[in-house]
Amino acid sequence: MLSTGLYLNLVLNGLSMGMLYFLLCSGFSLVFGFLRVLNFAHGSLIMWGAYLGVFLAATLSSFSGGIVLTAITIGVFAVSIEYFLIRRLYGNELFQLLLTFGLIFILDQIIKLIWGPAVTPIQPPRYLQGSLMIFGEPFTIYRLFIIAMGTIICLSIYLVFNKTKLGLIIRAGIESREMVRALGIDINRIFTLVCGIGGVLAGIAGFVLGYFSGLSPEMGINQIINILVIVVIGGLGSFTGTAVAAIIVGLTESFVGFYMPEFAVVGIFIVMFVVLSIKPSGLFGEV
Amino acid sequence: MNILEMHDVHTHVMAFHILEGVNLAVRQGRLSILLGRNGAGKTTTMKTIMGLHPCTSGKILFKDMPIQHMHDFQIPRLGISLVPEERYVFSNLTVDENLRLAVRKGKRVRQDRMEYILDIFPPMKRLFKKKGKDLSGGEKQMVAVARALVNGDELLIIDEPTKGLAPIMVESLRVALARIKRSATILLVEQNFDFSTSIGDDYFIMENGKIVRTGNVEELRSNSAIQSRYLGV
Repeated sequence: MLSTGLYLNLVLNGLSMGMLYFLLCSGFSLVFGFLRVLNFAHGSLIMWGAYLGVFLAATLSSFSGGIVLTAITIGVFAVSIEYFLIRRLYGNELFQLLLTFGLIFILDQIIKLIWGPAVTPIQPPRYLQGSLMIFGEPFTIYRLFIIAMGTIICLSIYLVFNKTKLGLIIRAGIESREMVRALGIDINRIFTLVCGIGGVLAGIAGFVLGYFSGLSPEMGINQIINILVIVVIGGLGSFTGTAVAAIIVGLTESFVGFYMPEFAVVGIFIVMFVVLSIKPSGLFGEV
Repeated sequence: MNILEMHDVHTHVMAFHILEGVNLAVRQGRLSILLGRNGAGKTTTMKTIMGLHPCTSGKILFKDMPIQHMHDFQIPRLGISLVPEERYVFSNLTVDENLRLAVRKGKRVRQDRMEYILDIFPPMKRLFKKKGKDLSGGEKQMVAVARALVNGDELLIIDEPTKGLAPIMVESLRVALARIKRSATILLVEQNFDFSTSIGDDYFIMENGKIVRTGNVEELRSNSAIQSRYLGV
């Protein structure tokens, strides 16, 4: 029988992983939902966010300054990718796939050239190290930070989606780009902006991930698999679905890891199997 | 004075040559109807005017200004609104959001425009919080037309508004369009002959991607030979 403290610890643990997954998936899901572009290079943008973030935070001697500058830099980089490359390939899914897949190799190799192939553990700043006792069980402060970051980003996206004209255009554009254009809205500019927001989210996610799991030139390709699975569980194109799926996967991994540690690695795939067996279009997906 | 003119407009959609030299002139302050059998090119004509299917050659003038090379999003800003055949009321947006989305200046529908819309469509009052997906066909059509009215545009292009509507909704739409035409020019594409000729002033008949007849609606109503030859009425 689990004690309440341990049970809550598992829930918090799952929630922190869920929030981390949400951060990793949010940009990808947003870009796919609006632009219908499966950006396989999103994992590489996350990795760039991690490496660049650690570098910038160290250079500026500021954790918060590092995260802001990383988010902006990766955002601008994502805008350039959309403007110079993806824009030419709208409507051609195969070429988009080849392009973003090719970008993975280029971006990953540049990381190796600059920072080398070694795996590097990274310590968060002192005030985010160590753990707190919550209901008699220790819980790492950095995981609480992840929950806080995930909540802030989730709320920000909710507010942008539901309280601004941009959010209105994005939600409408997900349904029909042609009608949005017919209303006099320059959707190409919105495409670029959404890609930029996706990049900002990738930058933040990478920064948070870098201080959580360390730096590795394989982290991008590893994350894109998790991202794809979570987005499919949530329902392709549904941002709410992505958020809910990320939390479910995080909680499942936490509990499966505790009760059946040998299945911890496949927890995410168990969730996918169960969800798709019941609803093939994903939790919030529309057939 | 003509508010819209098309001169020898050709449009290709993928490999298909749909418009084969369309010529028409819509007079300001009139309700012009574009008639023709299925596949004649009526919807393509609408989309070509709006820049959604850019024309491959020819000239389109809006208030004497060439618009054929403009981007699709620039054309509505000139004061042209489209009510498409599919209505396209965004299903995950509320009616209020559908209207706000169309506002080009400011964040909300201007008070006087909203009063005008509610005056024409009183049932709209109870729909604001409803999502597009929860509306009936008639309600969707009402919202689609209302959305085209939020900016007070000079030209409304309305494509097949009665399609799939119950007779009672068709009648209320007829009344609404008869009122709207007092303050805007309307180009109406319609298959329903009785509906369109009951409110129309001028007509164009399309066949095989060309305008083959044009004139006054009164003349068309009294000429059964034309009706039978071109429209199968």
